[in-house]
Amino acid sequence: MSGPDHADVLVIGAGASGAINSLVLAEAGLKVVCLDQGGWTEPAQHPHYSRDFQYQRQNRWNPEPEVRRGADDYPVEGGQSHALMWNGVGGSTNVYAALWPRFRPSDFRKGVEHGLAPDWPITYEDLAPFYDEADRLIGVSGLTGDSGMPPRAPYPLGPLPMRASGRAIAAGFERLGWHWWPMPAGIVSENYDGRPACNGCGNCASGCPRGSMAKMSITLWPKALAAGAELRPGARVERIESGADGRATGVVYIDCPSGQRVRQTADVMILAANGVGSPRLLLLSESARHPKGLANANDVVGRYLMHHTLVAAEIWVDAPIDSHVGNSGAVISSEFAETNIARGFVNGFNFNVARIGPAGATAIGSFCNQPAPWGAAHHEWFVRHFGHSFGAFAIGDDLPQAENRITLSATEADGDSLPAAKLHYVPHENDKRMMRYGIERLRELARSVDAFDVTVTDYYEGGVYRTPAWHLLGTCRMGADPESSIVNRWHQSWDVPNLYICDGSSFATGGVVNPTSTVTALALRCARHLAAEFRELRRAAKAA
Amino acid sequence: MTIGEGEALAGLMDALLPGGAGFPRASATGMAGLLAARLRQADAGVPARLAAAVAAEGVPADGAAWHKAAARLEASEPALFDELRKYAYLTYYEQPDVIAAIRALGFIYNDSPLPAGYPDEPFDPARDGPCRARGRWIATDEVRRVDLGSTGLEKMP
Repeated sequence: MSGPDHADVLVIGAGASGAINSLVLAEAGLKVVCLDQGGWTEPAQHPHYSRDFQYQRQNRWNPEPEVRRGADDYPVEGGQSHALMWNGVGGSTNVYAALWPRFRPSDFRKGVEHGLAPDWPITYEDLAPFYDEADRLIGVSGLTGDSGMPPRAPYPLGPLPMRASGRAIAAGFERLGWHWWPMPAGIVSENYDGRPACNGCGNCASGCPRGSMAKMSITLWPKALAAGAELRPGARVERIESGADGRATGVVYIDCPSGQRVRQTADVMILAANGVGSPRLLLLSESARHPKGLANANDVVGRYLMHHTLVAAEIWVDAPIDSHVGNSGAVISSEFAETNIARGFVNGFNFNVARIGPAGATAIGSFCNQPAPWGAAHHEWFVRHFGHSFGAFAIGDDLPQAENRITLSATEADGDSLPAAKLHYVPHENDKRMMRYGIERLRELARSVDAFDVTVTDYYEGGVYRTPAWHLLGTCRMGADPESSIVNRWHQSWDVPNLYICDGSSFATGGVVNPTSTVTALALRCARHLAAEFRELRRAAKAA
Repeated sequence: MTIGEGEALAGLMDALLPGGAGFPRASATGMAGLLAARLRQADAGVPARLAAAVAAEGVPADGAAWHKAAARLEASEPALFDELRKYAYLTYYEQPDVIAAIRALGFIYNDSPLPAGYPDEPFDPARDGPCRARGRWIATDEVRRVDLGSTGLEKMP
């Protein structure tokens, strides 16, 4: 074992939250070391310049580690959901869509609203300034003035092109009289901060090698490194160590290129390894003093996993709408976002309406898992359908349940023999009702655009809901009560006062939107707080 | 009765993608070798299993017989058939002759997403924005308790 090196702040995970925390704290003059088990993904490694880009999406660029099985990945056992995850610099911003809507004020108040989910210990108003600041840092494109959301600062950039597809989708919402708005995106519509404007290549799902989309390895990490942060890729953390005083002392990690174990100590640690990786590492860090895992005296680590509810439709219209081009997210609708108990369920959902993608994706039916017919009918089907479709997701706020959780696998392990994550997720009856209601609204949307064909999926396979909801939330949740949450309003562990947990796992509820905008706003808030409080935290550590 | 893996794969992919409506049949694109390699990468045993499945009912003699063989495969080994179809479709739609056929439909369709991309006109609020204000949100201090009585949800774990 080599080391230890000592840092002011040690960050575990170089994704969206890790990048922002490293940047802000390095700019504050602190010695920041960030570890990530994966490596850099160079622009030329992305599939965008190859004819086989759709094939690559099925394997080495698949968003699921269980399919990709890369050397940097760890298995996620369970088979009950399609976890989106990228282990490497930039984290899952290597394979996301950069849809950038915000939470709503009521999303933070589900305890007050119905009590089947907790309140957050913070409000929308607490987070709003950080949403605004994160938008400028990320380069968010959007249209200000949405009456379905609270007033906000102007977007740093105007919306991305609507294109024929966006206009066709919007026409459907107009006919229904439903709310719609151009989808905010972490994709620059004009040259911004040294990044080129999006050219609508249509392959957002495999990251963005140009940096038009906010891929943190291109857009934030160079700034963090310039500010003095030290990033060590290929550093797989084995366990977080803690002392007799209850504080975290550092980590032992495996330097993947050499296979050597290294000890890294720090005054303060930030765990930002996503909603699966963060609880996994806490559970891996069990010891005699922490028999249930670190920061887990209440046995809540890993519990209350949320993905969002998801149902989807692919909708075909007569007019050609070039649905293979442009950024993936076209339109958002929050018509059904707030609770209306007359529907028979609490919480709500948004529509994310998306462009479908290129020819191969159309033929294999990637949106709804319903492939094109084969044989003589195939080519006529393709001529009629290709370039004529859009996809609509109803993405809803699933209830956090203690039984939906991340644990350690008893049978599977990563390449360094560390136990894999095991994932269990079954939707609540409330979630099922919301999904059934959402499917009916999707059919209404299809009728509103005079669709000549529509396919719908509820993602049940053999009686099991195998959601590709992708999002990994709630497993080290924030709360006001040490009995039922893992971190306080500042992401500080109740049990381990110099350990902060800041990523999707911190969410108390999931909202009705893609989470990365909220992850980045929370990360900025956490980092600003830490920068302001660091001296006191270190003094307390030395006094302990 | 036996059949070579290459012959089986060629027959099956032409059964799936026989050509028409301006599109070539699969084997005419020269994709057979690439498809075989991809199927092997997914599972080394797939080409042999496909050949065995085809040979079980006798070697097909013509296009109609290959269609029946593919239909039998779909019914008897759906997972294997799904694998074949997925990789056949993906491989087919990246072939130059097929991309040319897509362009002939009137679409601008690049060989690969980048470097060219698909630039378009900027967003025009007058043309592209919502016609009227819709939507609502509930302010933090206006969130109220809902009555769950009619839902039965309170009694659920």
